[in-house]
Amino acid sequence: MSDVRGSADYRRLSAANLLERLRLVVTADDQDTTSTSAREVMLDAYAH
Amino acid sequence: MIDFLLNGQPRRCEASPDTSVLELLRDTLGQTGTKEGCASGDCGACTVAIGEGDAAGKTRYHAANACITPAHQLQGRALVTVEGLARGETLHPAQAAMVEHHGSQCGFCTPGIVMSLFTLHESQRQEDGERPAPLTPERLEAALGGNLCRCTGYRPIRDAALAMGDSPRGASRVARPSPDAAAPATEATPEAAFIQPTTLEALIAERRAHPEAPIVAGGTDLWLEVTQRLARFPRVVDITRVDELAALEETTLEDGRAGWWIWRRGDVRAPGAAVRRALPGVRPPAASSGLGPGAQPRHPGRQHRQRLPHRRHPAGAARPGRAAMAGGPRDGDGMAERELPLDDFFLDYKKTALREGEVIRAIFLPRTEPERHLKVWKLSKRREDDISAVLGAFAWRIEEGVLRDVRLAFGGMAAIPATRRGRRGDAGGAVPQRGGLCGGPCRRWRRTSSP
Ligand SMILES: Cc1cc2nc3c(=O)[nH]c(=O)nc-3n(C[C@H](O)[C@H](O)[C@H](O)COP(=O)(O)OP(=O)(O)OC[C@H]3O[C@@H](n4cnc5c(N)ncnc54)[C@H](O)[C@@H]3O)c2cc1C
Ligand code: FES
Ligand code: FES
Repeated sequence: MSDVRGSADYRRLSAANLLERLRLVVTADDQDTTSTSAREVMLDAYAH
Repeated sequence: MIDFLLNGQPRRCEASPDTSVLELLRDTLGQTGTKEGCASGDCGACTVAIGEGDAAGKTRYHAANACITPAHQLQGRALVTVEGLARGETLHPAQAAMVEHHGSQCGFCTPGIVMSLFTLHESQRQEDGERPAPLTPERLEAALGGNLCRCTGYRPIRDAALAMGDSPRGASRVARPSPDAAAPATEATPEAAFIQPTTLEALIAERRAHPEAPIVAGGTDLWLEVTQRLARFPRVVDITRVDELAALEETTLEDGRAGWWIWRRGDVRAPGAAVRRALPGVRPPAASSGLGPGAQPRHPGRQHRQRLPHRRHPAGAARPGRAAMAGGPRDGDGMAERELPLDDFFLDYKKTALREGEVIRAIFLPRTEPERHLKVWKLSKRREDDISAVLGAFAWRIEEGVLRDVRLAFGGMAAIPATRRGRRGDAGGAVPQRGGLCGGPCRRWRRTSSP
């Protein structure tokens, strides 16, 4: 793959962190789908 | 031959089909105010404004990266460059504000920044008569997100943009596209040509006659082959003027899923609105989707990034949508059409299920069911206008404390968008707990992913 950004290690670590973040969200108490936070699209600008 | 207006003056230029607007300006026309930085759509030094007449007869400008915009797409349009802004000694408000607020040091990025500000100023002026509407931080970010400056720092540039809003005079002098020149060339086409079909039928006929000729839409992917890999394209097919590809349709599929068929062109705000309705919790950090590009590559000719992954880009993570294709092997005389789930569309790195001669007609974007959770997180160096290192998209439902219908997708982790669907005993059916979110699929993922 010629046009990926970041090293393979960095991307693997980032993906693992996103899964961890997902775990925190899923295990959080408020699982109210009616709130807008149930559906979000956001960006983490990340300097590396 | 390309007929267009350059800073208000009619121009007729000869150019090979793979010439960019930047090459046309600098090499053919000697207009060197527009700079080349990265030649790949990242830095914005080459920003120009391209104007098209709208239904109400007004000219709408969008900022474009001249380095990756095909010169032939200028046919019938008005191109404004940094040379065309000042009237004699009187600077355009964008220029005057940059001077006043010390928005330029070495100056290399400045023409591009001025053109982004010009486009912003024009669009605000059009919305609110002669006096520009107040500038929100989101709009400002969206307008300047595609411009990099390495030495001045962004605060003076931001100050300039905000001050520009105080100026009552817009740039009404800039060129209007000439209606006569608006129609793309239709004469018999020589082998080397930039073809601009206006109907799907003509597009398919061209694809059948010349399957080797690449299709171009926004050019933000294809044109990098020219600027970075020095590919030559003697024949190019531009789909941006095909009427049938410019629409948005709310629909319910046979399997009961509601959503939208999105064609690649048309008013860029329409797909944006559909995306917002599909993802009601969208929390954009800027006026743009926040996941996508800055203003230059986001103009109406371009596909909505991440969501219309025509040629599979590893950074994109597609949702379980569908792709509709036309122009495949013919049944009788008809134009064969077929649909595929997006999951089956991507085969390998930059390889898709498209057959020779086929084009993508539309993408189906499903509506998110109200009880479903959805998170989409993108990691990239820049907030705007950067290919993501990793994009994660996660959807699930919780039913009486149990995870159901889990779907996980990653862009940037494999040659194609990597997706996992939770099944019984897999991610679905698990009770969310500390030790691990999704059990089997996540573990397998860790073992098998090779980003
Ligand atoms: C600065 C920058 C940032 C970017 N960031 C991202 C990002 O974050 N995520 C991401 O996924 N991508 C990103 N990209 C890559 C790219 O811009 C996007 O994938 C974009 O969606 C391509 O759209 P386009 O209209 O410009 O495509 P084009 O370059 O015009 O076409 C792309 C490919 O699709 C083919 N094609 C186009 N239309 C059709 C059709 N109707 N039928 C069949 N084939 C067709 C073309 O032949 C070509 O091979 C970025 C690019 C740049 C320059
Ligand atoms: S030269 Fe950098 S975006 Fe065009
Ligand atoms: S003024 Fe030097 S890069 Fe912006």
